[in-house]
Amino acid sequence: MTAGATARWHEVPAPAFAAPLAAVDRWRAEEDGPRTRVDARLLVRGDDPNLAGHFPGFPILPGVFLLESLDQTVRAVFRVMFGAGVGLREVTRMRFVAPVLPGGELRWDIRLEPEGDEGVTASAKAYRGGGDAVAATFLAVFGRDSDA
Amino acid sequence: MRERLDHRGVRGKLPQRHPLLLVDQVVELRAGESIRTRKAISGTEPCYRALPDDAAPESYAYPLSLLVESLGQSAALLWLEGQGEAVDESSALLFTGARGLRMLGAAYPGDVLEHTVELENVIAETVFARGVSRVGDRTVLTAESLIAARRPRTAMGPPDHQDHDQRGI
Repeated sequence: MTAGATARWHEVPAPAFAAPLAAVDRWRAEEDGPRTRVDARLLVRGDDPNLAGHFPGFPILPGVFLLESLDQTVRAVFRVMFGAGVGLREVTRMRFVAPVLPGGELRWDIRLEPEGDEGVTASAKAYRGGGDAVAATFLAVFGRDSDA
Repeated sequence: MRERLDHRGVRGKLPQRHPLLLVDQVVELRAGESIRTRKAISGTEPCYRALPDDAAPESYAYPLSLLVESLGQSAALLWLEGQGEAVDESSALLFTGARGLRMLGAAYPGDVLEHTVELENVIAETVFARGVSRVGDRTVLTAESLIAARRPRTAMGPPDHQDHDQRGI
């Protein structure tokens, strides 16, 4: 099942903070009790200037840009759904399963769950190439900006 | 044996290039044990290009993804010492994951990151290392475990040229 299949898509504006790329194009979400399930998409652009250096003649999306994409997505979701600023505090684990090449669309399945008073745990899978091939998995903790 | 590398030396070892070559210099390398590296953060880096003039002060924090990449490249310099190229004819060294990354502070333009990585374990073709990133006396990032592995190149799809520099993954 796709998260929020009936929910409306939100386009994400350019980041208002230092970032190597705009790492999410759009997202939709649905609440399920205390949890929130998010579907987000990013077209991996072949003309992204980062890919000129990663690597010359052999462009692959850096694995850490999946972390950037997860971070930007969770920040965007919280800003819109809860009017709150959050930031990444901890990556409990991340695993890069398969490289992401330019041209395809990255799809996220993210499950957000409250953690303590102000935190949120994000359990996430990134799928590459518009299909069901897993590119990476993450378990990460976000905190409200006032915790920083 | 202790070794230092200037930026030319770093470019000779790592396949990444501008804007994603994120280690400026190796301050100390003990092969098979540990490495200390530096990366200076500048407001001229591409990640600051589109920042609006009215952005909040904390918006100038160096992106966490680039911080982790810079630490990971430092680990790669340690792993690669005495282990050949990042990419050879049949395999490539890939960053396959991490555990226990803690974001403890922020770094800003003008700061110099100093990364320390210690080799923990090598099991078959997989290497584990732990790392810490500091700005002066402040710790900004710690990593319990950075994980890399040699993987067959056939798993990565074909390159888009036949004649390019293929040292790297």
